[in-house]
Amino acid sequence: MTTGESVHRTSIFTWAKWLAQAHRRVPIIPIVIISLLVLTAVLADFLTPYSPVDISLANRLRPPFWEDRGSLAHPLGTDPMGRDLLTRMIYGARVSLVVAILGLLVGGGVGAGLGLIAGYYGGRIDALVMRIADTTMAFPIILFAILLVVALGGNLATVVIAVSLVLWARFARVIRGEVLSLRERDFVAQARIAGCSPARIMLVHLFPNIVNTLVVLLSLQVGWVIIVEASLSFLGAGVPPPTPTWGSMIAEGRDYIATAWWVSFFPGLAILATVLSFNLFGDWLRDALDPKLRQL
Amino acid sequence: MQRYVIKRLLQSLVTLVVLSIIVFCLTRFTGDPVVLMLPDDASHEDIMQLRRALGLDKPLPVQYWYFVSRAVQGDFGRSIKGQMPVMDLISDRLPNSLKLAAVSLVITLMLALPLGVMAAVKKGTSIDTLANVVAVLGQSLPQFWVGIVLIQLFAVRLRLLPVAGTGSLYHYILPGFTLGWFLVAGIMRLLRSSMLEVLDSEFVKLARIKGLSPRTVIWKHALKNALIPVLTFGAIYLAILITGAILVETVFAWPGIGQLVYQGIVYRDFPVVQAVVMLTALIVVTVNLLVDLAYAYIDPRIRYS
Amino acid sequence: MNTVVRPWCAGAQKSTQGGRRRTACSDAIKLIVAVAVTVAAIGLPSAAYAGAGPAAEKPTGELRLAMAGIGVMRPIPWQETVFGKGYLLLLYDWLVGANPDGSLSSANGIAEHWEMSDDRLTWTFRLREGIKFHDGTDLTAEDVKWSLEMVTKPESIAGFAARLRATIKAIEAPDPYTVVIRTHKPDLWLAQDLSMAAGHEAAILPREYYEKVGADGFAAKPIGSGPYKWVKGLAGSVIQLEATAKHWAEGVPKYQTVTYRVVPEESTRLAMLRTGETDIIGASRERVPELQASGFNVFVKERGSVIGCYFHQQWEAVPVRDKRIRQALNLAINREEIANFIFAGQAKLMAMYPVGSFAVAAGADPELKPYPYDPAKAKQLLAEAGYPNGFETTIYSYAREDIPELPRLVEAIAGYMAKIGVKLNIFSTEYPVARTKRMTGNMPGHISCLGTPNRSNPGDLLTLMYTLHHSSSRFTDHKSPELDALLEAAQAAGTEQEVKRLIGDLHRWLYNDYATMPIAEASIPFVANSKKITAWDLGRTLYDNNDRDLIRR
Repeated sequence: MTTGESVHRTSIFTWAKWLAQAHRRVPIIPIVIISLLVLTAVLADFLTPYSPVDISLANRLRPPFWEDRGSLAHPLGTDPMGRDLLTRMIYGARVSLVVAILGLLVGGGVGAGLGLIAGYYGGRIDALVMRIADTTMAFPIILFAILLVVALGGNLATVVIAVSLVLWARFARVIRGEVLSLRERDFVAQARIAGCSPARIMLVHLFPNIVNTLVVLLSLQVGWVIIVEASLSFLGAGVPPPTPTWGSMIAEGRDYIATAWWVSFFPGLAILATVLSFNLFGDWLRDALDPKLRQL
Repeated sequence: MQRYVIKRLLQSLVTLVVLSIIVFCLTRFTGDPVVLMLPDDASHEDIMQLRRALGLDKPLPVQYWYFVSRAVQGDFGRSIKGQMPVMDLISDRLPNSLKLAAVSLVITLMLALPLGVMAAVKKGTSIDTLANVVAVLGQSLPQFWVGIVLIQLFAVRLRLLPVAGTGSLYHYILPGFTLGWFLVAGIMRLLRSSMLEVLDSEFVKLARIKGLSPRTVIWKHALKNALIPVLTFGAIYLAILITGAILVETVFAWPGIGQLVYQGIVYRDFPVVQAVVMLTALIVVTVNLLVDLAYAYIDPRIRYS
Repeated sequence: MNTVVRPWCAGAQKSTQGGRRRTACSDAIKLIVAVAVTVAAIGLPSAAYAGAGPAAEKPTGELRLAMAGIGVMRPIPWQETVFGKGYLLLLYDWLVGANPDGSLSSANGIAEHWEMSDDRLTWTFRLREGIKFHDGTDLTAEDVKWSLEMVTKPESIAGFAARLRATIKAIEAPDPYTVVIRTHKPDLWLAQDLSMAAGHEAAILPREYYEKVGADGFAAKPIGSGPYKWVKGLAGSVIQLEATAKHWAEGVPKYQTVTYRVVPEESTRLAMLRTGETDIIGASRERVPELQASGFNVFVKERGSVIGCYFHQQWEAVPVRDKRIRQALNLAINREEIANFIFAGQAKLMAMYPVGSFAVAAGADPELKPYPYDPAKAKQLLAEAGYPNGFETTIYSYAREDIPELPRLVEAIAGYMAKIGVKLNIFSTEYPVARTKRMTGNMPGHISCLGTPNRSNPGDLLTLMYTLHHSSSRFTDHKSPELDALLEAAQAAGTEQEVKRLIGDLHRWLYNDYATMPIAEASIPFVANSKKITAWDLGRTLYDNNDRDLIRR
């Protein structure tokens, strides 16, 4: 793939070779942060003795341990309902990750699939898919989400659907571009001549070659999904309480900026670090796997 | 060429029609607006009467026909909640959104252009990474959060800028920055990759050989060409800036159409939502069409694909 | 003119023009003389005035208010919701006036005298003469008749429109200053309903002008008879009003301009207050201590809001059908904590929603005590009723301008319920969605919470109770013949005394039935720039904050 020859299967060895070559500028910090995030999300139940949802009004708005009135029992303080902030952040990591994964699976999956089809068949199908994709991209996700919330009520599923509805277009566009350039290659022609069905060509021959692009896109969009979730919580259309999400924690804390800064600050920091890490990681991945993926 | 123009025009028209059907159905899917408007103790007859008055009792295809046939004449009906013509509502607010979008775009470009060019020219160095981090920072924080913090910092603490609303040029700065910073990463990335391609191209090499100073090469020749892909996304960005500014409009009490559409959705104000969506789609489709036609004119290969 | 060189002007020569030589000095001298003459021209007469008795009063300055929402912001009563009453009070006059405490007044309403016939079927209002609209035309009975007819039409979205339509049979204007209203049924409360203490239905508009320019034309340039005139407005954003020279009831208004601004985000409103961009804001109760500490004046409508939760559709086969369950749920929440923490101590407990402490004047029973906090007993009751392991249902969460704490309240309630085994799934949505579900009967056994003004007038209270509890109402949660009978008896009662007695009975019935889940009576705070706004009596009228008090001298 990197040298323009008709390689039609990527092997693990070539993957490893590419990654090794790129080691010079490996973004260590982002990778560490991402790993921490995944670990926290998975091990949440073991990391904290508190429940993220049990309310204790008398204990509300305690500051972090280094201020007076704070204590090490609640190292980062408590939120307006008396729940331990650190605990909520830990569980929030899980929710943010789940939303991101689901949204990307559905949106990215559908988008990549449609992109494959559009790119392979070309012509009218291509035009149709691309026109719809273009107009979808212009419609802001916030409005989609509100529409869904008004119709279906706010919950995890609504957020995932809203995210997917916007995400698919981006994936479709990029994958279709890739497929367009790939389908003129020899190996595709060979497969056609050999009598492979379009489905087989797409799945077995084309798909492995677009995996790189897909992976880069996925990593770059994780941050976007997390930010969108926060914005939806601000408008009251996100994952409903008492489930902790970083976004809803920031949104909740904005009323307390002057009096209880920690309620928004730490989740905000978490979002910042996570999204930044995913973005930088995705950038590096793109540069490492295929510099030609520049339009991403 | 003519065939291509006609083909693309037809495609655009079909897109608009399909979109109009989608938005028509989608808004009605959210429920009945009449029941929301009337007071709690309104009788069933009252509700029926209001529905009749608003034309909501007719069968859906008839309603759709009314909607389309009037829309093409510029009449999008009356807002159910605000009880005034939708076009009036939009025309009161659209200029505010456009002005904010324009300012945001300028701020975005002011940030993205230098960052993108620097990142491309100094590719691989720490400057590249730094530029990337600064750009990506804008996408790593929720917009409402950025807005609220900026208000606290620049308006409340430092008293340098006004908090909210419109009125002077200063009122544009904080909302414009909040809105614009979000897009910086996308444009910067695009510019960077596009610059890298151009810098590698024949004609740039030729310019270098000719002895032109690196600065001229970069800023005068390479940048012009590198901007082309950025411009193609211009329509989409503009549309996003106009209708997607709801968060900024909420935080800064900016009287734009983001708030209008948001209230429209919440109150099932079909005419308002339909109008804003169709107008936005019209902008996007038109600009895309013009760009595609321009490309086809320049590059004949495209016409035959 | 010859150049005149003075030491301090040395080198300050300017160019010549046609022979005349000028210097910067001579220019400066000319300027000084001109300024002196101007100052004298203005200052001397003013100085003369200063000693010449009281200066002519004129409105000065600007009053700016920033709120989360102000209704539809269309200045036509039948096209505006009750949350817009504030600015409507400045634009128009009402048929019947009111005092801040909610009692009727003949001093600030159009009617200087009114009386009810003995059979309670006819009301006669004698109008004041000499009230003029902003365009100079006279306000007559024709305008009153027409305005009331318009506001009671079926398309009217005014809050009490349906009730007035059901009450009023005919309106006549036998002479330019008399209005006679006949009712379908004997009605004790018509004057109250058409007063400033109730809604905005009785705001009187000029018929001729409205019919000339049409609804849209009127909305763009409304004409009223109130102390302020409309300048401009952008629906959903801002309304700007300017003072008239003098109002027949309020005198010379204090401020030249009054601006209402919609700022949905509370942190932004606070920022605007701190930087001086606005003078008055609506704030949530939690913010009050910190703002008081910062030196702002806080004006409070004490116990202005009553807040409570409903058990929906109690006639269905749902857990809350059983009185013991309703009692258990009522015992499970710690109202003290809620009042102290969620409402920042600015709420007092109440016995039964929506009957607040103001309603004692309307016949409510002051002996009833708020339900206690007893989770142990709650669990016991649940077991008795057949739910030893609790049950699951839905509670709705939405943002409401008048109760910003609502999402937190819902979370707290869910937390308390979880401790007794009742799982409340929080359905987070927008209020209109929840309202629709309620009106279409889609909330069997669910819980939702709301607030409403603390009512002191028997007629108002009765209407509310009727809407909430009578089996014929779309909003009811009960289908109880006993309750219906009580409500109907109260409606048909012939004297105020009887009505108040029956309201007391209703109060006790609902209390013993655990009909709703009362939370608290909360005060409504407004925060203001302390230098500019030193006094404000918020009053006890419904849905407005006595805006006219702000503009009085």
